[in-house]
Amino acid sequence: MNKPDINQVEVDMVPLIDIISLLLMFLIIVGDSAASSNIASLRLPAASEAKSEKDWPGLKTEGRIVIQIKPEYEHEDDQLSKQGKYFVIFNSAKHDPSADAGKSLKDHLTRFIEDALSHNPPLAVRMPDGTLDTPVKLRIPAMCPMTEAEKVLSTIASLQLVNIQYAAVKSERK
Amino acid sequence: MSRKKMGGGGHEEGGAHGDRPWVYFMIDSFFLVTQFFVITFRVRTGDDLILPHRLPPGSGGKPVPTITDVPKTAVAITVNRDNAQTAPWYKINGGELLDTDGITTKLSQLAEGRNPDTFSVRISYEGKVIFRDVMPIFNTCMKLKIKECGLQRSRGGATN
Repeated sequence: MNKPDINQVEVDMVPLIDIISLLLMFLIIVGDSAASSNIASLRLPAASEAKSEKDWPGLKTEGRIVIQIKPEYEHEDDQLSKQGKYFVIFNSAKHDPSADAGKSLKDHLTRFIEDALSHNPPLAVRMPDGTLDTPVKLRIPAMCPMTEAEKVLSTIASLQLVNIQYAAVKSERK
Repeated sequence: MSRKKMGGGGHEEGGAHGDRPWVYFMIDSFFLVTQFFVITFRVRTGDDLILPHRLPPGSGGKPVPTITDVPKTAVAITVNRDNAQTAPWYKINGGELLDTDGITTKLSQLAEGRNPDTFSVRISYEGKVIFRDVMPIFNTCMKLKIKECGLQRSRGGATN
């Protein structure tokens, strides 16, 4: 009696490794892109005293709020000629500070602060003078009108957030 | 006994590189090395330089009564510009017109030899002033260690 002819199947691992590598790279790049997309590309103002975070002794970054003011149009000429609006980006959400006197931004920040204060352990601390120790990093483009920046600063100040960190670029001027 | 290869079907026995299996590994290694460099040298846009600033008391629209023994010298700086193309101009306490370098020099002269904690700088702005025009004042205050430096709300400004 002859034994049945058994076909041995070999699995070629090489394409499998390729597909897994591609998938991993795709996920890494997409994940990184998603995180980077929160950082808007802005032309920041120059400040000769500005330093990198590690060069500021005692600069607090833990629990920091990052708020960006992004112009409607990417090119400054378009923004000026078309009188583009400015939007505030906080936690990937876009707010129009002109709409309803910036209520949506204030509400969003208020919820964030409440969550931070009620977290265990608290992520934000209210100081004896009523201010919050939570630092706020403001990325305001150089060409942003002060009337727009003022709305955001006013909202921040009304929530007793006083530790501001302006994002800037280095200038040679002193 | 015949062997059937899965995952590599549709081509002749041995494939294009059947007699050179090292080609597969070479391609894989090249691919991995390329991806390593692509991922490692991605431009990070999150490492901004920072200029710390503390908003002075009462910035939130609620005046904070303070009692202090240190009399403060009020420095009112007005910033203005005629249009987007011209340079900004500055005035300290309603004095002479100054440009960006001038305001830095004048503030430095004012604060020279004096305790920076005795100064209270208030910046007001009109017209088409942009953030870039105000930054030199923050920068100079940081350089001179003047802690109290705040913005005066423009007329008809935000009232959050």
